[in-house]
Amino acid sequence: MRKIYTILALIFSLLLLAVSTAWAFGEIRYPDRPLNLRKGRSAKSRWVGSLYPGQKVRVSFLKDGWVAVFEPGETKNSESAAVGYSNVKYLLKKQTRVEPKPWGDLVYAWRTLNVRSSPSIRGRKVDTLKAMEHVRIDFPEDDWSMVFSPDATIRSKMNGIGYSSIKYFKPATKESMARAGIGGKPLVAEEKKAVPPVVSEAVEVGSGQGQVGGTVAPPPAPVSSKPVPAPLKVSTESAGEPASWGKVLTVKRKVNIREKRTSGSSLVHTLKSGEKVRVDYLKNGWYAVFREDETVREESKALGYALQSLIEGSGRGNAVPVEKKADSSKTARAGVADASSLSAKASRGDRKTLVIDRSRLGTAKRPDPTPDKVAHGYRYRIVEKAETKQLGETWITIKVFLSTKKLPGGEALKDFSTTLWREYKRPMKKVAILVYLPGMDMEDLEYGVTKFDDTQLLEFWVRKATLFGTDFL
Amino acid sequence: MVGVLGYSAIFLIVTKVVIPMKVLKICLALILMALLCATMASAQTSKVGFVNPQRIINESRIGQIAQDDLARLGKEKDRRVRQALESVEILKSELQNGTLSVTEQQSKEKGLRIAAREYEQLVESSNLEIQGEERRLIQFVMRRADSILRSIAEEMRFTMILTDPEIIGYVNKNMDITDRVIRELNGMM
Repeated sequence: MRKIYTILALIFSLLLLAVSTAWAFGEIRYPDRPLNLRKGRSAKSRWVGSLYPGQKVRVSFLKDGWVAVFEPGETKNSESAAVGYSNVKYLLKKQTRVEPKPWGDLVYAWRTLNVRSSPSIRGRKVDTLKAMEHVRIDFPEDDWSMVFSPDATIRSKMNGIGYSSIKYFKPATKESMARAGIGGKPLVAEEKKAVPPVVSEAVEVGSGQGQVGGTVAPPPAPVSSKPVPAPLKVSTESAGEPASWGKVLTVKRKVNIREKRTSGSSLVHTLKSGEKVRVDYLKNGWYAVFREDETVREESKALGYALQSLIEGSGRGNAVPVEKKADSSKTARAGVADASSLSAKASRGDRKTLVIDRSRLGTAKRPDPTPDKVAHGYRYRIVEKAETKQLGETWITIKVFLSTKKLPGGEALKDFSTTLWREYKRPMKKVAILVYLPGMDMEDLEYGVTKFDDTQLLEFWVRKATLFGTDFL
Repeated sequence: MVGVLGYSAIFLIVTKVVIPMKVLKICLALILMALLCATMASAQTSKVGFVNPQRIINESRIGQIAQDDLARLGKEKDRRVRQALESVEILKSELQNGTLSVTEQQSKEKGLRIAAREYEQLVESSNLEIQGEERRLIQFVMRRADSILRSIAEEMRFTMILTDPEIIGYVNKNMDITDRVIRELNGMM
């Protein structure tokens, strides 16, 4: 009998060991910036998805500076379970910045539904969803969308189960989730825990927020629809009894106050140097900012949120340009971008470090793609088609290589882009046609940019500087 | 030189050759001089250069083209902003006429609110886009300049090239390679 117990204990221990080994593969990392996921171990490999700053991921199989990225709870220690590849240098062991970005839509199938290998009825059947089964959908293509497990945390095409027709889905509701036995907690909830507040100013610079002084007209005064908080009073005396919560800080330089705890959220106010504010509710490296004389400690009364490193003045000098809030008190003035804007940059006091991306210098440019289509007398090739969200709008971005020996004129390029737009336009979505010419690096800036909404052309312009090194310049 | 003298001295000491004091002093003086020369020579190999990125943007042809590009984008954004503003103004003037029925008034007010919001969003997104574009264009030009800078640095045997004019008190003209970088950038076009 004792022998049997011993054998059973041994088997149990071995099983435990096997399970723990399976769980322990790779390591947990966090991207320090928005990070692209690629299909292979190269920056030139196809884009399959992205991670938001601070997203928890499991990484393994390090090779040539690239790692395979997995769901944090992944137990299958195989590259086949990877959801993409990323450069390991951007994946840190500690969270330095957390900016959760919800993705996809939680939906449920209102009937039994096939999941296919491609967005077409001819695609191979890879799975079947039962009625009321909840899934996450993203990467829409026509009437189809990629289907993900409701627990999926990483937005990657390699993380999807397959494709299903959108018309058989309904948005998930509290009732539907309760019926399906899903808690319905947000997928990014676990990332919202407090992190070491070491968010650098460079983070905000990289996020694309900032000022271009006087380039575009401010909004008209009488029709301002967005409630703008009253400017903060610089007062050293409190009106009543001083509040005992939070802490009062004197701002040492201009600091942007944002609507949410992300540098991508809209700007609601800019604090000037010397202003006093009350801060509290530190979370993810962001403070909720209140008027100094605010007596009620309630987050809803906050003016907005500011990076801890900026408001406490621990950042670097004046590296961050402060975004100028549109002044609603002025009448609209049509401003044209100052041609010397680039040149004025360094002569101003708000100098910032220019980091030259040397990674692109070492690698030779790839040969031009081979055109496979013709439109308006131009031979071209669609190199990439992606769908992204920018400032709350859905954009279909199409990278096109245009094979030509003569520099196309503005009107010709507009006509060509319009033809492509007609082919790719979708209701409620905007389209950007990005044109590259022979000799250009297709990983770098594009020459022609044409933007459309679902009804008309919005804007068109070209970057002649990108012709540097080509036969056109 | 230093090595030879040093070895000779050591050899003499090791082999216990009795040498006159005067010769020893001369040897020591020679060793010291040789050491001094060697130090000076090694100091000369460490050269620091300077390049002014602002002048590259301002004075190179590619930099000027990039500035024109940015101005073109600004004009295009400005056109869109004007358009959006016009639609707001039209709705406003219609509302101020005061000849509308209550239903029409409400509908126009709603339209005005939407148009105003769109206008504000357009202004905000345009500013962001222009700012991002400015950064991208500077990066684009500087990447091209950087490759030239590196080859010049290797050719002139610089061990370091400074790029921030704000922290430099004095630069010898021979060490400032900005003109050459601009010339070579222009030569590539």
